[in-house]
Parts: sequence; C-alpha cells; structure tokens
Amino acid sequence: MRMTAPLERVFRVFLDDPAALRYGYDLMKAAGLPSGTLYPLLARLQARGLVTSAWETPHQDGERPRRYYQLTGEGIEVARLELAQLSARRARGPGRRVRPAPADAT
Amino acid sequence: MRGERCALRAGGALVSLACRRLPARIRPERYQEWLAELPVILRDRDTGPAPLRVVRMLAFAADTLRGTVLAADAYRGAHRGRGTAAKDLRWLGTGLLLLGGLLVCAVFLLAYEGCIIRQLAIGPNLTFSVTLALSNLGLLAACYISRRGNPVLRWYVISQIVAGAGLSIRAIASSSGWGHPLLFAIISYCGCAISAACLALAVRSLSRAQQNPDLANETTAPER
Repeated sequence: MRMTAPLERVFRVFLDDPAALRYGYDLMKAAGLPSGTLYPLLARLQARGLVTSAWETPHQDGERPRRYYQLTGEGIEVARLELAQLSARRARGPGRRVRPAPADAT
Repeated sequence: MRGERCALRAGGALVSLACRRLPARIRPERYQEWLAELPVILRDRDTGPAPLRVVRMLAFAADTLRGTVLAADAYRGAHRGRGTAAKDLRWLGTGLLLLGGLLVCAVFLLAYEGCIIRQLAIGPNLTFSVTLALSNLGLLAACYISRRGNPVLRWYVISQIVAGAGLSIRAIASSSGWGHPLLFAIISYCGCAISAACLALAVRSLSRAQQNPDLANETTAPER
C-alpha cells in the first residue's frame, strides 16, 4: 500500500493508542481528514486486514449505534514499520515528499 | 437545537445519495454508519456554535458523496491491477464516441427545428411541409403498429405532424391563391404553437421517465 499523507495521519492517530476504539468522526477530527478521504481509506485498510471494525451495542435512548475501528495486530506492525520507513526516508534527505501530519496528531 | 430534524433530514438525503453509488452488499451498513455520525456532529459542542455544526454535518454528508464517487474502488474492495489503464482508455474512448454521437444528434435536431421555424417565418415550402407531415405520420403509424413507441417519441412525432400540417395548409393555400394569406398564416402559427405544446409534453414525459425508469419502457401494447 502506497504511503500517502492521509494514510500517515490515520496510522499516527491509531498508534497514539492502539487499543482505543475509534469512531469515524473522531478519526476525522484527530487526523484532520474529510469524510470523503477517510472512509475510502478505512475501507482499503479493512480490505487488507489492517483495520477491523465493529458496531457498538444499541443505545437505550434510541440513538443509532455507531461503528468503531481499530488496528489489527498485523495493522499495528505494518503501521509502525511504514512510519519508521517514512521517518528514515525523511532523515536521508529530499526525495518523494509526503506532507507531514499535523502536530496534534503526532 | 432548532431545526435539528430538518438539518438531519438534509444530511440523511445526502448520505442516501452517497450510498446509492455503493455496491448493494455494503450499502445498508454504510448508510447506518454515516447516518449515526450525523447527530453526533450536530451535537458536538467542541466544534462551535449551532450554525457551524450544521455546516460541518452537511459538509460531512456531502464529502461522503464525494468519496463514493471518486473512490468507488475502495468500497468494492477492488485493487487496480494490470490492464486497468487499457480498460480505462477503452471506456474513455467509448464515452467520447457516445458523447460525439449525442452532440451530432443534438446539432441535427436543432438544425431540423430551425428549418421548421425558418419555413414559418419566410413562408412555407410545399414539398418540405408535406414531407414533414407525411413522414412523421408514417413514423407514428409505425410506432402504433410495432407497439414499441414510448410517450416521449409519440409526443415528439405528434408535434412534428401538427407543425407539418399547419405549414402544409398555408403552403397549399398560398400556391393556389385560396382565401386571405393572413388567415392561413395564423393557422400555421397556431399549428406551430400546438407543436410546441406537444414538444413540452415530450420533455415532461422524458423527465418523468428518468424519475421512474418503468415509464421509459412503457409501450403502446395493451396489458395482457
């Protein structure tokens, strides 16, 4: 999977707390990505088995249950590896540049 | 919040539009997922005052639509492989060809209608008017005999027949010197006005057929 700036941001948000359950809107806010970019990205990650999703239990007050996402074990490994390689590439010098993630997401 | 239900309904409509572009097997779950996020965004006080939250919610819904249009492959689980570029080029070629065909048809139709209007303005040509009326009469008969004409085609052909008939009457009258020319000019103008009304009905049928595809396949055949 090609490392892009949105993917880097999403990996960083997930790796902040790999055990945390993340909702789509929370991921959007943390990664600073619009829904039209985030959801296709999550769908791709899910298709590759790097992210898993589940539905929360239905609310008593009639609110619709939300879907949350989490990195799988393989996803955590891949994310760490990809981010490490990216850091190494950046340290080596100018090449194909990927726009860095915002400070709050790191 | 005042107007919350209205805003949610608008957001829901956008999400529903976005989901229509998804494969049927994942459509319900994506619809549920995105619909569940809308009230959360609308009640998220961290993002600012109520109007801003409404804008954010609508932007969320609109952007899901953008995502399903531009990144449809992601939701289908498809990965671009070999030969995809060639396939894309083939589709592009077919699309351009179709677009070119449509443009040619549109230009032809405009020229055809322009010709009728010109005949109306400068005085009709007998051969043109009679050919117009008779050829369209033949086409209408063919539609009824084959039972394949849809309402759009029928109204269009009827509009051409009426215009052709009005022009033919005027052309015959002027060539044989009957009656007052003004009377027959008025008759031809009336014919063209009725023709325009029929064209409007054809356009209406077309828009209805687009809203309800079943109407597009409606034939003149009786129900069995």
